[in-house]
Amino acid sequence: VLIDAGLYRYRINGLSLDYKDQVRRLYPNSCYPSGEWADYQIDVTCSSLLRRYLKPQTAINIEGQQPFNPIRPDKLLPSLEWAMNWCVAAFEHSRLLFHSGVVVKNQQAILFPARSGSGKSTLSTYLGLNGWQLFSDEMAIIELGSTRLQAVFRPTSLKNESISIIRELSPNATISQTATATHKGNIAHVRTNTRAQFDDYKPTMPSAVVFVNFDPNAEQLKIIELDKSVGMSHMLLNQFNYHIVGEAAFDTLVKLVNEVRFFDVVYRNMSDVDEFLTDFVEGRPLD
Amino acid sequence: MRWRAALLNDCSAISVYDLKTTKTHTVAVAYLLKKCLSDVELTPDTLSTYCEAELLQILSELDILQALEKR
Repeated sequence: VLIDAGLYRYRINGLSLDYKDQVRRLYPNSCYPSGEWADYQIDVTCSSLLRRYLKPQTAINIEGQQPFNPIRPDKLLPSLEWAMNWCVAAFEHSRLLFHSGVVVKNQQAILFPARSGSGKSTLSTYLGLNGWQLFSDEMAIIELGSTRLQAVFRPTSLKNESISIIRELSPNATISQTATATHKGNIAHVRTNTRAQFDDYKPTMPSAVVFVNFDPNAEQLKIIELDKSVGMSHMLLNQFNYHIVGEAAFDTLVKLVNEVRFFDVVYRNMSDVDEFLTDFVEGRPLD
Repeated sequence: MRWRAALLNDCSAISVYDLKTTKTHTVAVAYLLKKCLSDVELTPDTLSTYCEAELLQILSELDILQALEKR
């Protein structure tokens, strides 16, 4: 099957009929016959002849490399998503990449740079299901020079308790089967937009970078505006390819830093963050 | 030329990029002004009028680039 994720197209060989169905559900109106042109090729194979019959294991080969350990076949879907992320992180050096969620409203992009486990995917998913355009829950893809953010048509990845939180808040959301006991815990994927909605997304300038911290004991939303030097340093902790892109990455990052405001936000309720960010992009005074 | 430099527009720091190591360093403007006190009259406002070459010259004169080379 060939997945058209907007900026990137992936050819995935070796999927069972069941997984092809799951992929088509997560990528509606975006799957094509695998013979078409693709940016990246991912081959799903059996890890060895013996493993075909005894405790079956599946291996994922990406462009001839095998960056992940073989997995049980029932964990394939998250591994495919990680493989698709890996393709971009490993080979895309014509744009600047950060580990970050990106949402857009009122033609302004908000970035949530953070490592795995920070809650950025849960928050990005929530916002994507509540009126924001979700450009990515995983990667900020920034045009060199212009600093515009690009969107990709990918589902979000939720872990562990985030799955039930989003299922409860958005009972009508398209959520994949949960893959249990992966190395990151239980994983499910969420479709937050239709292909038609995605096709309307335009490259967008950033207006804020928000470092989000979920605290179940926080009594209220806490917002601190940060110096740009602090914001830039924190962003660099989440870079994918800054050191590879080189001088153009420095110029682009400085331009971005000079265009945005930086906030550190501690929250318990995602709706509070939604309200704060909506006020921000709509130009209302911040409390 | 080994270095690039840019003053962040809130005047909190000069960001310095080392083309040789691809590392980015942050030099706080407050630190810079403190180092400069005995030499020249420097304020964030005057700093913001400097071009990149002038920023690099100040960083070099204050031995900051030399220190960054060793990090």
